[in-house]
Amino acid sequence: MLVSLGFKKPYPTAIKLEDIPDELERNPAFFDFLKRVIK
Amino acid sequence: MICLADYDFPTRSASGFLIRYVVPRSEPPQLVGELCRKPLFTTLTFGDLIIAMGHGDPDTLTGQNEAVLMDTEHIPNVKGKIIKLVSCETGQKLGPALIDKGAVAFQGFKEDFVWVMDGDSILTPWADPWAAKALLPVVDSINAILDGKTNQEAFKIEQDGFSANIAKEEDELVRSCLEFDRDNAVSLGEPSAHIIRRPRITLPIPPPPLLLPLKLT
Repeated sequence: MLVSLGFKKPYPTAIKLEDIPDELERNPAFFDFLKRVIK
Repeated sequence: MICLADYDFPTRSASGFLIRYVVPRSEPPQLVGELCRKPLFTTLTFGDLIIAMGHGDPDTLTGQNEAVLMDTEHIPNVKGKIIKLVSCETGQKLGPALIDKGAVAFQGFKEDFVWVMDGDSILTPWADPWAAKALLPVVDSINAILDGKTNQEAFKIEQDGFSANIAKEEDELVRSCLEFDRDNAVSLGEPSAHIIRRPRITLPIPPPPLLLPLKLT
């Protein structure tokens, strides 16, 4: 599970690893967030 | 003072490590779970150290169930204190605002504090080896502060802890999270700031499982 301590984020602050691909496809904000984390 | 939210996966994971390794040696008030709320947080700010964990943004730190504990417009008495916030983005604005209000040192994160955890470890979060990779460096820095080490020394211990875990990490996502956390950790205020050393108290056995229900979404 990928978690963070963000407040009022437009992406989930707790997501199962297997759900990440679907969320990346569905949610541009989550895509941008992971793009910042994974350089 | 220590104030720990505990109501969803990330706060349960982080509070678990702090309950296991920090709370036994922190002085009252110890505001955990339902006690981690603004009325207590803002009135019980005696002592020389504030440790708080909850969801946050650049201006805001929240406690239990995202109730606001403080923001840049409403800051409790922090004069002369060292402040450690385990939260997201508070290093951007809230941290500098705390220094402006008289805190001698601040440590936090200027971006999201992010990690990989094992959702099956939720009853005994301190035993989660995945979360430990991100949370033990933070725990070690807090314990360094409680050992009387300076703001600068404690921050270096956190940075070195992240770097050591990055060096031995094989999972790309976990490694990226650790690098992101290390690179976005911030230390503000007086590098030589420190508190009076607290005794080292380690629980001989882990706490009992945390059975309180979590918010799952």
